[in-house]
Amino acid sequence: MDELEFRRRTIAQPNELDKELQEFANSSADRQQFLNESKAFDKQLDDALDITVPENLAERIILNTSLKEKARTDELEQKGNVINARFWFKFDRVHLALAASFVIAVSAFMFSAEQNINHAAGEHALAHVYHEVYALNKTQPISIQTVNEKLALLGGQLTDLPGKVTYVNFCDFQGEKGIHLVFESDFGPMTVFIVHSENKVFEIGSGDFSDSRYAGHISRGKQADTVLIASLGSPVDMYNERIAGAIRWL
Amino acid sequence: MFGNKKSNDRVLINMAEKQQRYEALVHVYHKELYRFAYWLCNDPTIADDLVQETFLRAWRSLDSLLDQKAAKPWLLTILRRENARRFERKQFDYSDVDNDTLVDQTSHSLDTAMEQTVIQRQISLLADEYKEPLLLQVVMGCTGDEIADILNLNKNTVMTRLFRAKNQLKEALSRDDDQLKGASK
Repeated sequence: MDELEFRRRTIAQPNELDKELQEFANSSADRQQFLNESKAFDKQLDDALDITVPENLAERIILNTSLKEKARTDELEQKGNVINARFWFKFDRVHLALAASFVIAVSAFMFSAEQNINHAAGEHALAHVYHEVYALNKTQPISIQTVNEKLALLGGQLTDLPGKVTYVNFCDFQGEKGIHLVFESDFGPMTVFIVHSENKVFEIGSGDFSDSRYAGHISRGKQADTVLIASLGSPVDMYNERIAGAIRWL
Repeated sequence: MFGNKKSNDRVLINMAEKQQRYEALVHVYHKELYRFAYWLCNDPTIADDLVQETFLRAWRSLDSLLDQKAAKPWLLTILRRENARRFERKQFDYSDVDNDTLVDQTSHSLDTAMEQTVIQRQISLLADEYKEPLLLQVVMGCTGDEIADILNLNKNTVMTRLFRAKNQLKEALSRDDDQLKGASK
């Protein structure tokens, strides 16, 4: 250790002296003073650079991170949904083919057994669900006004449904005009058909029906029949009255 | 089913722990990092952005930070990379910042304030290879070993650069001092 090395290292890192350097500094008052001056200089630099940090910076950082992360996960989810939709599209074609053959089978059955159509109403409802199975995959909410604009043509009005409506369309139920709508319940999408009871489309057969995938109930009304169809295992009974009660007839 | 619920709970607990770790990290290091960024780029808005971006990236790779003690060099590495990215994107002309706008500290007296302004100006005039090790040491309180790690230099080079940086500052300050004295005569 010589004087030059001591000065170099002291200037560079006055607060980080090793044992050797410390002993060398302690052995002379001049060196001691040089060490103190070097420390003071570092302190002076530190003070000069000690600017005020913007207020709430920490809170802003934490907020910014959570917002950006939320936006990112939403975006990823959306991408996931697009992939899902593609999957469903492929899946749907299979379903549509199945539904089409099912419809043919049902019509053939009804045609051949016209006198014996005890289950026809339920089967007809189910066939219709399969026929428009894609309606169950919609997620965009439809306003109650839009629903009512369509329902008004049947002379009805809907106050509210136990979930947001994601699909609404006019449909033909054996020549009788009706409304086909889907809403999101706590138990997945549920289908509601509202059809004038004049032609007694849903008149025949039991009020409850089901197949391997869906279960449903027909509420027969004075003006219209309301059919509710949900995934098997959903508490259809719980929703029946609420749906039927939600519709007012003018 | 229970297993599923348990693993869901585990995920939630992990998320809460991660959030806690992250907030602690922000509270401990945001001030130092802001100061470092400020003197690195001489602009409060860019410094703010740099620190925000650094912590956002830190959140995304927080799982890779295994040793809490390594947090400071880890954050500094992210920040330096973000700063470098800024130059890749576009070379803005920030270097000729009017340093009078940078004075922001609680000044003790006119003399001290003036001296500090001079120091600030001289530091911003240092070449990056001298400025960075100096800021890491003075603002971030990094040891020689840490600086060597962060800048990917050997320890002796770090020592030499710190020595030269401070020597340059001392020279410039004594020159300025003479000029100030000369002006007041």
